[in-house]
Amino acid sequence: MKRALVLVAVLTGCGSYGGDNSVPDIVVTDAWTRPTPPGVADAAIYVFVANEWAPDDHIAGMSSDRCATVIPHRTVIEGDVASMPGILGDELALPTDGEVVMEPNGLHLMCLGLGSPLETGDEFTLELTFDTHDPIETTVQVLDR
Amino acid sequence: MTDLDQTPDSHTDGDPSPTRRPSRRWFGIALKVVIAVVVLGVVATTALRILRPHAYAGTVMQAPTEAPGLDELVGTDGEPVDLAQYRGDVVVLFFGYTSCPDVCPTTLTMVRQARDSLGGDAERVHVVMVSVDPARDTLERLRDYVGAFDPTFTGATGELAAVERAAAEYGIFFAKGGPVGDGYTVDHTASLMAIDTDGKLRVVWPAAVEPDRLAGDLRELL
Repeated sequence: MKRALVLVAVLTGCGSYGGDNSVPDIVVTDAWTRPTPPGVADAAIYVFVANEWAPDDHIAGMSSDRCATVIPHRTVIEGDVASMPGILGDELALPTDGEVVMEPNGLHLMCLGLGSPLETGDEFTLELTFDTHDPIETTVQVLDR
Repeated sequence: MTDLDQTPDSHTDGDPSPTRRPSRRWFGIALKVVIAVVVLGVVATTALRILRPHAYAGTVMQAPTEAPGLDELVGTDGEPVDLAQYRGDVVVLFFGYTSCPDVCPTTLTMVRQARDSLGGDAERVHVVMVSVDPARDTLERLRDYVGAFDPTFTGATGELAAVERAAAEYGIFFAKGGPVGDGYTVDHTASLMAIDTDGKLRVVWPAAVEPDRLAGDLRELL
């Protein structure tokens, strides 16, 4: 009973503080990208965003200290032909309990205008903004995988 | 010393023979069973390997034909591409471009992982990426690009018309795609192809083939 009350307190606390509480309501994890070959100025960033407790929301914007611009982007492979039509629909919607999964050969964030090549082991900051939730900063790892 | 040496002997001698003999017999039976199981296992695995062909992750050509030459294109070594030099080895061919931020790095990383897992046989697998964006992909840019994934990878490019002919011969589609940033993307067939040890176009893999399954196919082709 005591435990249930504590849980209720934590949940309501989380709801009223909208992201600044110790219990995260929107989580941004596993942000990674690959090292870039010399002369390549753009890179695809993959990240996992889940809305665990917050009301329906939407990823509204994104920026990074290493990229001039960051845009949402999509690869489509249809009949073995790969194309990059950009964003098709409401792929960045984050309803309560919903998630946005970004993976190779699919939805990703395009880092445009890299100041310098990304090297394996580098880490840099990615900031996501939302329609209602406070902005969230996460660390992007440069992984050779 | 003497006491210790004698203890086992006296123990054995003291053992009544009726209980000793059945345990020895059981041991003999157990040993035979183990040997039989091992032999059967080896025979069965060998038979399966011979009777059941390798299940390729890619699509295998039923009637493989000679892989079209790429001698109209220039390789990153500055020489016309000579596929014949790879006879006896396997060539993995991919059409891509250096400004491709998602599919091409994913594919080339995966091919490198598959190739690396082959150990000593890796040097018998040659990876060639033909640029479908010859307007932007200079030889130098292409060399830097493929080399960043693996120093053994080669790139090939040429006049647009020559690239178009090569792509058509391999059944590869490519066309200028949508804009991204200040540049543009190129829509292209992202399949990987294998030219076998006889110089024939043998296997086509989808872009998202798993590295370990690709490695399995390459091992089979070698």
